[in-house]
Amino acid sequence: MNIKTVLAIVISCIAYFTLVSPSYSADSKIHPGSMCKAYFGSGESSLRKGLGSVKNTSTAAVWVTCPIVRDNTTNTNGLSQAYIRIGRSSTATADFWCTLDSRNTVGTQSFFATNSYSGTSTTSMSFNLSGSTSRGHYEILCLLPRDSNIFSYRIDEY
Amino acid sequence: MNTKLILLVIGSATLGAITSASMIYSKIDTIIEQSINSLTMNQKTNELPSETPANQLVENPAIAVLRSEISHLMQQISSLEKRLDEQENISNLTTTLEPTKQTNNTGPDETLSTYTDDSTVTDQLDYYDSYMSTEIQDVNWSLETEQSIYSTFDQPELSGSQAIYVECKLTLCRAEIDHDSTDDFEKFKFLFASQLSSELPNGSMRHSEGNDGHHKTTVYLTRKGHDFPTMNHE
Repeated sequence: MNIKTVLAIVISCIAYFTLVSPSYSADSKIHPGSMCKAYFGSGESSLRKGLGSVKNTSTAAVWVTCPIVRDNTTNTNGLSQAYIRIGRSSTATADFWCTLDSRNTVGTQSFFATNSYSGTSTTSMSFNLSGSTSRGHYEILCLLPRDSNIFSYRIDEY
Repeated sequence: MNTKLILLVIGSATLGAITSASMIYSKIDTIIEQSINSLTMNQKTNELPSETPANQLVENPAIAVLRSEISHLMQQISSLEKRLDEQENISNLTTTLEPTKQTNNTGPDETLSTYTDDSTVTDQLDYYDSYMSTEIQDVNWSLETEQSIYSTFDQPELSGSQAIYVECKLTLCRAEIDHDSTDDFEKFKFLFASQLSSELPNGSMRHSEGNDGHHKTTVYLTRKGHDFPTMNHE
């Protein structure tokens, strides 16, 4: 009876690694919010980075750009999943607005997916980017309200 | 404790069986090889010299196989040559139609990638255009949304951008915008999409700059809850 149990466990493990493992082939990446920078250089002094996140310490909203490393450089169907972990302060006046862009090599053509949040808590904003330019790049642009944070952002490539 | 012992015995037995089986297989292989060698030697020593027609008859099947393979390879080479000619023709046509794209770039890699980008996205945007022409119109939604798009240009920050043409159908909207300068285009990029994101969250944009310094942008936007139509690639 014990041997049967052991054999059952061994067979289950083999079946799991053989059948289930390929589902992990999608390329996921999580970037720290501290990778974001002010889009306009003057805004950089308003940003405070710590614990992997970025916070806008000024009284006005700041545009930030968050780089994304792309591995699948030729697909044209966008990303399978993308979201950003954010916190909007109760003192914020502007909406937390972000766009996930896929641009061609020279930036003249793009696909974009946008989302916004006007609540006052920590949340995730997701993007549904269904198009991308072959050999172009991805980027997230956000209007970061005052006293608000970007903690991290995640993208899953096809 | 008993289970461990049983597992150890099973393991050893399996290992032993595998080793024995491999040894048996290797012996069988050796015997077969020796038999073949001996048969070949017999043929060489006892049969007719190589010049005789009888021996040619023995070799004929092998030659026939080789001939068939050579013929197959010739066909493949011929097919590849045809494809190469076609590729060269396409390449020459592209050079004729797009002289600026070839001359403005610095290296072969950049030439290739820039051309690929432009054609891919242009194809997709053209597809959205043709898809829109087949869509029926949701009259209420389209009129309301077209008005929302036009009204984004009322804000003073977008005074350097003008909506030339706006059209919405059922799931897609298309807008053509002129910008007075690069700065105006930059402002538009940020403000336009952020104003419309609640109703038109996803989009695609194509930007071009004319010789007179004017910038033109064509934007396609999808209705909330809808994706861009999928283009069937080859």
